[in-house]
Amino acid sequence: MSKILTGGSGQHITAAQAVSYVEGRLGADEVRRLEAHVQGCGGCENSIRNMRAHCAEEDGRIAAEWFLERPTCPPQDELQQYADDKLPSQRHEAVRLHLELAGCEACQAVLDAIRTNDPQAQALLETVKARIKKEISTRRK
Amino acid sequence: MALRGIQMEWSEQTIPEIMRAYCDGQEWAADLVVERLFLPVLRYAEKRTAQYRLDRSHASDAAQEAFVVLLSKRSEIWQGRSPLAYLMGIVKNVIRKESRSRRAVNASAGAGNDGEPFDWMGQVAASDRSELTRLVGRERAGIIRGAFRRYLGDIDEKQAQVLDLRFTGGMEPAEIAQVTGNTRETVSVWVCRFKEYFRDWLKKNVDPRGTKFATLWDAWKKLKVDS
Repeated sequence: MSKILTGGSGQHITAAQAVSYVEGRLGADEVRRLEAHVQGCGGCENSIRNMRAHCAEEDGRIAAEWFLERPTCPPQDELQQYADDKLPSQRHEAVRLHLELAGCEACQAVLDAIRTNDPQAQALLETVKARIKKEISTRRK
Repeated sequence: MALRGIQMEWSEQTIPEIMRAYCDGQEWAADLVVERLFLPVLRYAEKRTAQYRLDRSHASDAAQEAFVVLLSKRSEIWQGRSPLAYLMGIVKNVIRKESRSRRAVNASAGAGNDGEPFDWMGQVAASDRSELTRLVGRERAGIIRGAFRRYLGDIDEKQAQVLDLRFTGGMEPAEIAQVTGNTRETVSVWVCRFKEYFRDWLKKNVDPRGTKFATLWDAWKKLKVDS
């Protein structure tokens, strides 16, 4: 990414401003001024676009690690308590936000498994265990 | 009988402990892993197949494939991360591949494109997800979770919730502000603070040379020249 020049009759945005804008750290007035400038300046528009892509990629990488580590996921026994409506109200609300707003798929899957009494799936378990073992020993050969 | 006693004892252990037992060669631990995790993984696979409009039978196949991959390669792949998240990642990829191959067949047959559901995480290729673990090494994979937990332990629940909504939910700062009652600027500052912390932690603990993280930081350094 190239360094953005300042000065001249048109004040271009600096790299620091571009970063702050994309990260949402500029105040409303600054955002208005910046956006008004960017509308008429192809170079700055390009810089903002590149910066957005850069930030999105970094966030995606962090999110990938977050997904693998699940640092904010409640433990399974807490999800069981949530399913049984036995959590204190503040904690219940925090778990609800994690499930419904953050939409944690791992926790939703665990909760679904806790709530669903599926005799077919239970019966499938033994078949699955045997099949998995057979497949593993075949692949190891 | 003695073996059954051990198995019953282990059924109370956590999944990471059971996985470690399996990686240490305790074959019976595989049964426990399947018992504890198969149903959540199956439920997840069923949701994914529904999203991609595939037949439900693909869910069971994808779930089983995920366990075969996890258990046949033991510690090579698992590397101390959350097994459930790892299994879900495999399921997601298996189902996505199945969906794509079906669309390729339909396209050549002249059928319409159903399109893929939006996947915020899909921006990072599946193979890249293990880049950080590859960088820190299998034995040290736990330090990544430690880094996250350390930061979360130092902030209040409101900030933790914001990070959860951003990195689990993929929500934009404006949306997070709306649902949590914080201002957009506050949300952005909290997210940026965490990212600065994580960048610093990575630089101290990981050798990023030649990786995409390094590329991002080089670009970042150039960008910050003016600040």
